[in-house]
Amino acid sequence: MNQQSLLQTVALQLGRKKVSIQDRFYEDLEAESIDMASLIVNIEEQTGLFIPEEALPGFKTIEDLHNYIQSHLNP
Amino acid sequence: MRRLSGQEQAFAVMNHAFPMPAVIVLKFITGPSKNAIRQSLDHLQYRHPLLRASITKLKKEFWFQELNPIISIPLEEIIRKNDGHWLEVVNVEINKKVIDNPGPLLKSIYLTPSKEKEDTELLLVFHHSIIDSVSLIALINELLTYAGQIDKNITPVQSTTLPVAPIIESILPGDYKGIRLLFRLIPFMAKQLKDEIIYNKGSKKLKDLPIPLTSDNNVLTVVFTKETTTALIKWSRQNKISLNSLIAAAMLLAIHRRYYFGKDRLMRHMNFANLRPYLLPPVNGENEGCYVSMMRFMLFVAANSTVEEIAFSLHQKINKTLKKGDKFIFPLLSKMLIKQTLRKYNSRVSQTLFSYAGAIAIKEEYDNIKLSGVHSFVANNHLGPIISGFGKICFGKLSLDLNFLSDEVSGDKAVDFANEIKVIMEELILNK
Repeated sequence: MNQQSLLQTVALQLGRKKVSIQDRFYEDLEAESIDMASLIVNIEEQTGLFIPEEALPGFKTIEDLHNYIQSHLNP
Repeated sequence: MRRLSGQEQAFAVMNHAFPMPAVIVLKFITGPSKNAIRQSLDHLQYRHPLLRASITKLKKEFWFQELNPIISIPLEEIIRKNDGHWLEVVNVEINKKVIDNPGPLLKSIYLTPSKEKEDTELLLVFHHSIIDSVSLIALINELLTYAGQIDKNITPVQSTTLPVAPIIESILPGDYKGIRLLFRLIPFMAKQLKDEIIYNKGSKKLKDLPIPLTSDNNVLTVVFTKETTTALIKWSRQNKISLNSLIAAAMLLAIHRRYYFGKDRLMRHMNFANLRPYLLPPVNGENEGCYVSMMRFMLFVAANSTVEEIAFSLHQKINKTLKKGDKFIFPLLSKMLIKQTLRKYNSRVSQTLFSYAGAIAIKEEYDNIKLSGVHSFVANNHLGPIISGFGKICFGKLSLDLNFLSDEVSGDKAVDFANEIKVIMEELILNK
């Protein structure tokens, strides 16, 4: 999953026209924990990864999530 | 310092009527020295203004007031008797009111080993008005970082004292302030009133449970294995239902089976939402205070409802409340709800109350300190829910810290009740 497709997935999930890689999920995009859970499911379906709950507090920005996906898809 | 927010006032009012502490337990495999805890508490108190505060009443409102002179955070030492001793101490502390004046609003108890190489536990007893789960996790990290350094003879870097974070009402989004709030408040209150009438009508028909005259808290903990925790996470993701809603549904179903004998009925559930990131400006976790929304939901549970159905219905209701923005209105009315409950003294606020923190960002090691678990219990009373609980995932395991009322459920009955909640959830993953 590249950066562009992640941005599209996040935008779609959170009902935003446009998001940027440095946007913070909660403060800037007003995501709820329920949105984050749906987003994670969506990403898991697209990538085949399992993202443990322990990783979630570390996803402050879209970039954090992107880095996590990249490091686990291409370890 | 500042006036307490509506939600904080609600907890302060409650603490004057009944014991209302939040008791946190840090369980260690290798604990810090008592001296390290003492010094760490002093560092924390220097840094965090609400740890140097008392609560005082002025013109019917509660205010945080700086202690002058500062009273050190109490640290009591108890020699540990056995592995279950900490739970006994929690059951004592959770039934005591927090002395909010003169304060301070935190005290600690260290259960030290009676022999070498024994586990230890540190209890932190908070006035609920100064703590929520986000600030609690930040505070635990800070405390253990200091303690780990002190035990290695490293002097912690003394950072400056933090300012008092603003009262929640002053930093709500624009739609929830001034005249614009009215346009939100009126339909919200109309809906709440309608729910109240419907609920009362339904309860009268079904003869609601009598409220015990008084009751103590009776706490216990349920811990799931790592495998079950992962399976539950997968189940909730596949079914697009939050783990929070699933656990709350299991609690509701267990009550429905035991108390209402499987009859169709309306039930009430309370759930907490973290408001910190959505405030303007957002409030960082290192600031103490209670920036939560105590939300109340009403849902219909039929005789043959399954846990999935209840969880789905609750999930939808919570989602709607969060998205609609009602999460910002609940804390404005919490004090009124609590005062009304205390005045009427004829109904419980809900059947269940649950707070879910998700996976908590706590480390297993802080220098030489080795942590094995964290538990969090908040007091309940006979006007409160039948069961209240705090859930979190710590070191890969889901745990539920449950609180029953001893006049209703005690001893083995409480253990059976807790196990029933666990089994309801475990059966889901076995039947998938």
